This record gives sequence, structure tokens and C-alpha cells, in this order.
Amino acid sequence: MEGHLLALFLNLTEGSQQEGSDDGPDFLSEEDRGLRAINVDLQTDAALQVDISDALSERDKVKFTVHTKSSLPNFKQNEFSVVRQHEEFIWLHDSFVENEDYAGYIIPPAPPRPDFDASREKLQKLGEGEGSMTKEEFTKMKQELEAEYLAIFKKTVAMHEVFLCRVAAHPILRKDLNFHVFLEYNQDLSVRGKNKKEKLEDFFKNMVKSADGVIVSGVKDVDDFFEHERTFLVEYHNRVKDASAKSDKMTRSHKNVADDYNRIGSSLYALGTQDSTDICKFFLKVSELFDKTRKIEARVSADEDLKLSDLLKYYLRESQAAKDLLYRRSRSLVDYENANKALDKARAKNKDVLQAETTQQICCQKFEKISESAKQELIDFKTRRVAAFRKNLVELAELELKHAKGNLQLLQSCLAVLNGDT
Amino acid sequence: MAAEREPPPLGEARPAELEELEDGEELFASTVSTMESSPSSPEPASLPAEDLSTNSNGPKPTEIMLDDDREDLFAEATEEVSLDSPERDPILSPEPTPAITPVTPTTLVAPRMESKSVTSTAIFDRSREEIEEEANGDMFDIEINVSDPEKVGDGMNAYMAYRVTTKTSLSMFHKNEFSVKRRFSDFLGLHSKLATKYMHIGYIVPPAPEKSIVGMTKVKVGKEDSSSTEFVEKRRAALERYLQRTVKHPTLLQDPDLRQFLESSELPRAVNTQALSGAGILRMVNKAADAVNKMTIKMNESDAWFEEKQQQFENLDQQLKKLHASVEALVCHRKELSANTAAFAKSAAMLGNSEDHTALSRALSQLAEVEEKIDQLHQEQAFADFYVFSELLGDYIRLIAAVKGVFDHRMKCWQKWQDAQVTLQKKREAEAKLQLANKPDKLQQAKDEIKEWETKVQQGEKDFEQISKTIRKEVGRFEKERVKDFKTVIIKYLESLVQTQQQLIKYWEAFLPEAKAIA
Repeated sequence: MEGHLLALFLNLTEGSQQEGSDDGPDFLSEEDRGLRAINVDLQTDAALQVDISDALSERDKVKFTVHTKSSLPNFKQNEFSVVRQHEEFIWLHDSFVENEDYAGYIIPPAPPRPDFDASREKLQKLGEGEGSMTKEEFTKMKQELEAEYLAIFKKTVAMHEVFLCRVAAHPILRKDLNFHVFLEYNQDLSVRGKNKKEKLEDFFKNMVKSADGVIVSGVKDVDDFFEHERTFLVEYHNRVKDASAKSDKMTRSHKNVADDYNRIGSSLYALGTQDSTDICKFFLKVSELFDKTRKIEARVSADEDLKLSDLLKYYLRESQAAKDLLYRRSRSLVDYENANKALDKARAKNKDVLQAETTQQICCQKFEKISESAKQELIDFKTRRVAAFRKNLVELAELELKHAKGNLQLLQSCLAVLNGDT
Repeated sequence: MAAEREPPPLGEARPAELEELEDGEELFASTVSTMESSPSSPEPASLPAEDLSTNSNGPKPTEIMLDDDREDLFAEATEEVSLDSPERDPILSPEPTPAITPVTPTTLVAPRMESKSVTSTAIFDRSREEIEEEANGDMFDIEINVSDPEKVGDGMNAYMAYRVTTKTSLSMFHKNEFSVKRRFSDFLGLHSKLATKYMHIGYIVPPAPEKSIVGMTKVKVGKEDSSSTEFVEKRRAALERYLQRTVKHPTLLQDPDLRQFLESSELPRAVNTQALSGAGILRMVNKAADAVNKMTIKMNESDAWFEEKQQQFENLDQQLKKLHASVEALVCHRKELSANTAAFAKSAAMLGNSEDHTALSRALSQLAEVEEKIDQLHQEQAFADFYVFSELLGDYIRLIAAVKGVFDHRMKCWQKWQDAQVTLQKKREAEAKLQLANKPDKLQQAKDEIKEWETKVQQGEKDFEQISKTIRKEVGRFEKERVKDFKTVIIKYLESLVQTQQQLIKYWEAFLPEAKAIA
């Protein structure tokens, strides 16, 4: 069903593969925005279209410009933009989670916090070590680190945008008032990050929830569908977690290899410029080869990161959100069963029967409502998942092929020149 | 093999040369360093050369008469006779020449040179190219393989024995193809002998592979894991390269010790190669002493060529070390990549198993398979990274150390010459004093001493000129070899990269339709 977002991983970083032609980390090129638009669900295009049109990276925060185009009557204008920070996204997400009405839906997972620490640290180290390397090396490494910073930046923008797009595509969530406020209110939402006390509260809440989750999951579900889903999700979630971690490690190793090529290229260049024999031309050519092949290897690493690691990471979060949905349903089931028991007791004692009946009614309705939407949500989840995997695996294979062919051509033409010379 | 001197059976030209030779013992002196100044014929030495002392300053070289040997080698050898002749200048050109500078006075012995019976004039008329051709044609027709590492013995006395197979058409060997079993210390022993004989007169002797106490202990103890197999393989390859380099050297190829190493089934155990032996410690002490001396010798370099070359080698050394470090890092990271890819493959397979959408599940399993194959590919590439590229760099770093050593020997040689001059001066002054003091008996002794030191000074100068000449030639040869080596190896390495990419393409092309088939 194309009604759902097929591409949850925006092709931003693909556009960034032209080294050096990128704008600074603060601006997104027109091209990138164009690409993203293609990935947004076409069905919701007319009604509500959300994207992040710009982003600014300041010291330790990122400011996203959220741009909305809508024909819905709820909004004052048809097109408008606001500036939001990460904490405000979290606030929105948490408001969904806490809203009882949405208990039956998979809440789109919150985007991860922008983390430039590692990159910043590397840039700093580079600055400190400037004296110990040649000018060429320094420039090379600086460019590399800047590219890395840019890639991380674009990724975080993509994650935040995906969250908003998922909300905008969801038939119920898109109508949420908080969401509209988020999109439209052009002042600061004054959502501060949680202070220590609140974080502690959260911690306890989570503990209670997971303890409860264990109890609740012990309750066998009558419904086969949900029983199957639960078993599936638990195992799937764990395996996705493992695959995501291993994919990360693999991607990082690839990057290390690319970095080594960089250093080898520099050393060969130094050898080539200093050698007195006729091998210097040879060295220079090979040095050039290493420089070029390194760029390709770096791209392989980046593409694997994007198409594989990020895919797995996202589904790690989504499968958690699906698990949360199942938990809420189980919780409501337990509540329903408890309400039944209470009602029986009340009837037996003939005390507070009305109240017990009302409670029981409420619980029943709640449970049924959740069950109904949950079923659909889980089916949609599967469809989305299959589509996303398909798209990304195909793109991964295509990119790997493209890079391998590029590498091969480089190597072969270099060999032709070298063999011709000798 | 008892050494015997045969009268050269050639034509008239020969005796003329001989006369020349006998008059100027310098010939021997120059090719043979600390030869006693007596004009006696070269002493027969016996194989095995156990009487070689480990004195690094130049023991008596083994002078072996090669009865079996024939033509070509001596054609070039006789060219060397012309040392004192005016034709000397072309020889001194810095171009790489294939001519051999034999240590032994085999120039005297010109056994059964049939069609190659050349008169002294004829030799000089011969063009350089002809000689080169001959040299190339004959010299490099030898192929050495080191294979089949086999553990012999048990416990701490165990060792690895390697099979050394030689294939050659060179006539100086008894057979065309033969093999022997050698252990690591045998190789070290060979190198030690060659270095002692040749380095102090300016020849760049390829260094032997390094010892590794840790590596060897693991093997001895019997750990059959991959790291000890790797260690043995690394060592085997290094020994092979070492021998191949050594036989490529035209002078070393003629050395009897080398021949014995390659040919004879039994080899006396080289005990002095152990690191912790008395000889080992003596070596370390000598090395330290050398280092100190190097710092104190201030040579008046009259020849800019040497200064330039030394600087060049210094730079090359630094650059190679840097490159080597980068390549070692690459090997390490690629091995990591291989391991991480394998881990991911397993994880993807698990994920595929738990995926309940059939087509996606199948695709994920396929992905896992692809990644597994790719991990193998990475492993093979890491192998190539190491054995082709990294080891070459390591070898050259050690070779350059040997080149530097040879330059140092030249400095020492110069120092010796200078010292002799100083002593001569002192002796002259002493004599002058005695003359004034009028002590006739002591005077005679002083005069004798002066004569002695005059000879020594002359000898010193000749030695210095000879070593300078040899070094120029050697450096030329070394540079040529280096260029060839690097080009060959780097091209081989790039070809390994090509193969990897081609395989990658195959694997991903096979996967793509599987991914597209997810419905």
C-alpha cells in the first residue's frame, strides 16, 4: 500500500557525495529538499505536508526549521514555518505516548538526540595535532572530518523529519492538537528539558512499566493474532538490536580502512616527490590512485551506514514502539479482566454494582478499541517494514555495485598506465 | 673441498697478467681487505668456514679455488684485473654494472676457459653491454623456493625445518635441481658469514629475517592455533625472499658458503646466532661500540656523491617507515573489517530467521550469505595487504639499514687510513728524533717501522678507494633492484585489489535480483 511512507530514510546523504561542493553544515541544498519531497507519501500531499526545510547547528543545539504546507482548515495559513529544537520534538512524542486516546496506535519513535560530540572531539584533536603533520595531510583530514560532521548533521535532520512525516501521515495523529501547535505556533514552546526530579520520575515510571510488562506478558492472549505478534516482536526486536550493533561495527571498520588508504596515499606522495630515481612518477600515480579509491571506500562506508545501519536502527525503535503498543493492549486486557472480576464481586455482594458496571464498560470499550486499531497498526507496520527493507536493500546492492565498478575502473586504468610506463 | 691452485692453462696473455698480478699484490689487497702484506699466495681455506672469526673488522676471507667452475663468471672476474690499468675509469662510473668484484683471487685461476679464452686486451675491448648480457643471462637463472615447514623435535628444543629447493642451470652447482632441509639458525648463520666477509668491503648483503622469541616459543610449545601458523608462514615467505635477494647479488652468488648452504645435505650448526649466546652478546657490544664510533668519526667527505646518497637513503628510510606503519594499520583494520562482516552476516541470518514475511526473510538470508562471502574476501585481501605490500616495505627498511651499514664501514675504513697516516707521521718524527740522538740500533728499527707504516698508509688508501668504488657500484645495483622490486610488487598488489573488486561485483550482482524480488 503506497499509502504509507515507503522511504523512511531520506536520500539526503546520497546527494552529499560530491566532496567539497557541499555547503557548510548549516544549509541544505535545494537538491536535498527535492529528493525528500519524493519520498513523502503522496496521498497526504495535498492535505498535510511537513518537512524540515533548514537547519542550523549552534554550539550545542540544532535549530530545525519546520515547514508546513496544508490545505486543512485547522491552520491559519496554507504555508508556514517555525523553528523547533530537539526537546520540542521529544515533548510532542511524549504527549502522544501519554495520551490515553492513542493507546491503540504505534507511536512513531522519537528521533535520537543530535550527537556531534564524537565529531567535535575529532575536529578538536585535529586542531591540536596540526603541528605534527604536513599541510596537505592536515587539509585532507580537515576536509574529511568536515564531511563527517556534515553527514551526521544531515542524518539528524533526516531522523527528525521522518518523525514528523510519520505523524503527518497517520490518519489519527495528524489531527492531534499538540501537533498543530507544534507546527504552527511561532513562539518558543517553552518546553524545557526535564530536570533531575522529572528524569528520576521517568526512571521509576520505566521501571514500573517494565516490571508490569513482565507480569502482563505472562497473560496468555486468547487472540492468536496478537499472541503470534507478541512472540514475533520480542524476538525480532532483539535480533534487530544485534544486527544494528554489528552493522555499525562493520561500517566503522570500513571507514577505518578508507582512512588508512588516505594515509597511504599521503606517504606515497611524499615518497614520489622525494625519490631520485624514475620510480617517483610511479609513486605519484599510485598515490593518486589511493586518494581516489579512498573516496570511493568512504562512500561505501557512508552508504552502508545509511542503507543498512540506519535502517536497522530505525526498526529497532519502531519495533520497540510496536512492543509498547502490545504492552498497552495487554495492560488494558488485564484491566478489563480485573474490572470483570470486580463486577462479579460487586454483584455478589450487591454493593457499588453500578460503579463496577461503569468501570467494566469503560475497560471493555478501551480494550476493544485498542485491539481493533492495534491489529491494523501491526499489519501496517509489517507492510511498512517490508517496503522499507526492500527499498534499502535494493539501493544498498545498487550502490555497492556502483562503487565496486568505480573502484575497478580506477584500478584498471591506473594499472594500464603503470604497466605501459614500465 | 681442498683448495688447490692450478696454473692457468691459457695462452700467453695469461702469464703477462700473472706477472702484473704478482708485482702488485695490491690486487689482492684491494679485493681482500686485511690480507697480510706478505706476497705469498693466497692460503687455501677449507670448507666449512668455521675459522672465520666473528671479528667484524675483516677476517681473512675464505679463498676457495673453484675447480669445477667455468667460463662466464671469470670473464667478468678477469675484467677486474684491470684495476690499475687506465681502463679503470669506466669501471668507476656510477652506472650500475653487472661486473662482479670477486673477493677471492680466482682471477688467477682461469680454468678451462674454452672459447672464452680472452687476452687481457680483448677483455678491455669487450663492450659493456656484452658483459652485462652475459651477466644477466647467467646470473639470474636460479630459482629458490622455501617450503614445507616441518616441526622437528619437541618442547623447547623443537625447531622448524624448511625445505630449500634450488632450480638452476648455472654450472657452478653440481645439479640442476636439488633441495635441502634447513632451520632458521642456518639462515642466520649464512647471513652472518656473508656479512662478515663482504660488508666491510662495501657490499650490500641482504639482511636475514628477524628473530622472534615470542613467535618461536609459541610454535615450540605446540600451539596449533592460527597465529602460530601465520607466524610460520610469515617466516617461510621471509626466508624465501631473503634467499632470492641474496642469490640475485652476483658476487654473493659465487660465495662458497652460499653454495654450501644451498647444496650440502649436512650443515654444521651455527650456534653463534643465538641471541643470548656469548657471540650474540659480543655482537650487541660491537653494535653499541659502532654506534658510538659513528658519532665520533668526522669524515672529510671529498666526494659529494656519498654525502648526497647518504642523505637520500636517510630520507627514504623515514618515508618507508611511515608508509610501512600505514600499511600495517591497513592490514589490522582490514582484518577487523573481515571479522565484523562475519559477525554481521551471522546476525543478519538470525534476523532473517525471525522475520515472518517470507520473501523478506529469504532476502535477509541471502544478504547474510553475501556478507559471509565478502568477509572471506576481506580476509584474503588482508593477506595480500600484508604479504605483498607490507612485507616488501619491511624488507626494504632492513635493506636500507644494511646500506647505511656499508656507508659506515667506508667511514671506518677512512678512519683507519687516517689513523695510519697519523701513526706514520709519528714514526717519522720519532725517527728524526733518534737521528739527532744518534742511536743507530734503534734507528734501524724506526726505519723499518716507517716502511711498515708507509705500506699501511698505502694499503689504507687503496682500501678506501676500493670500498668507495664498490659502494658506488652496489648502490647503483641496489637502486635498480629497488625500482624493479617496488614496481613489480605494487603492481601485484594493485592486481589483488582488482580481483577483490571483481569478486565484490559478482556477489552484489547476484544479490540484487533477490532484493528486488521482495514483494
